[in-house]
Amino acid sequence: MLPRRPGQHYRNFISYIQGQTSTHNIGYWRQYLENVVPCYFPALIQGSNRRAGSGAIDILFDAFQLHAFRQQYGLSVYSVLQTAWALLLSTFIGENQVYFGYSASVREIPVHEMQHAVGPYIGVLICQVGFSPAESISDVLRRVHNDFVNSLSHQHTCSLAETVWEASVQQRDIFTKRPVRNVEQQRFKLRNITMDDPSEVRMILNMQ
Amino acid sequence: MIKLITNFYQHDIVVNATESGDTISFTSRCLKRNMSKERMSNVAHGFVTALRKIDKNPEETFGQFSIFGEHNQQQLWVWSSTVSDEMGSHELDEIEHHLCGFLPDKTDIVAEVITPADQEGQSILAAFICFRNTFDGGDHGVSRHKGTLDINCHRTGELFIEFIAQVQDSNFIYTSETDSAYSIWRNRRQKLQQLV
Repeated sequence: MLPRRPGQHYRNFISYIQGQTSTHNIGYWRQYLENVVPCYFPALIQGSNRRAGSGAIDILFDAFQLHAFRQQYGLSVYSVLQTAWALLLSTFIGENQVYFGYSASVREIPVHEMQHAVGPYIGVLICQVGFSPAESISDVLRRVHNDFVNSLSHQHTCSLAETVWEASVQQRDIFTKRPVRNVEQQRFKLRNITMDDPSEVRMILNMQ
Repeated sequence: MIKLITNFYQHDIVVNATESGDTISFTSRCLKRNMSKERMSNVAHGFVTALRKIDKNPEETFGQFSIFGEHNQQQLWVWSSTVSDEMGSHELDEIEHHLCGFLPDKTDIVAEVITPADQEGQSILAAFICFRNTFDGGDHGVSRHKGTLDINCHRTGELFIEFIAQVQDSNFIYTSETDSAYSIWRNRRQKLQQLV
């Protein structure tokens, strides 16, 4: 149930974002994305087999051991999923350095009752993961986790477009995938009738 | 249940991971224009395999890490390089996709940069189009005359793209410089062969 009293105004969130100086944060992303190159997932279908529409599959994953593992290493589930996604991209693309976008909550800001606000408080960020042959996966996991933690204080002051621009990326599309955190409510049902939401990205990982 | 961000229609793949207790459920959706359901299944299972391998042996090095096994990995790269050429495959895919919107369903299209034999040094973007059935392009905004189908279109910006294809009596369309096109065909060769 939504509270009866008025909640956080979206304008407060925007005011905070607009009040932030971006120089420091842009410098962070410029360094983070140094030498970035576009990362495109290869087409996996030939023209004669292309069809309209979409297909879906469902997979259940027993995460019991995964939870024990991530707790042992002090990682979040999110870091493990990001690392697995990066490994998958590297496998398909054949590169040791991959990039993808991900949507993250941007509620970690000093605005009153931000955690209870209703609205799309999300931002699209860029994750880059580089692999070296001798590096252990556990080291990669820690690095991905630390990169995410370090990025928390740089999430709010520049848009994805600014980030890419400031990183001197020539290509508009530097990645084709983005893990996305999802939001769920139990008391409503939403029936999709039609939808049209063009995007510049080619692949998404949507996580709840 | 409202899933605010589940919007897969405009993306190649959406993998929706829902954590519930000790279970994570993945729902993977893909656009069929970029990936068959079988390929999507391979990608999704590859993701789960990566998770299991991380969990099983996190001290394994990246050099030792393999989702599909060495042999299958090599096959995957060979197959991927066959479908996608090294340069511009993303753009060519987009061109094929958008061109599909002007043509009847089940029309096969391959876009490629070719150099006509009589225009050495001048590359053009050509679309190889295969109609499944007899086709009168007049109703679809394209013209068919003297066996030649010319489609001129402007893309965003100043890039001018000229599609040149020649209609033959068969169900297939080739460029008028077919031999030349074949001579420069590299990674997309098999794709063209699927059409002809």
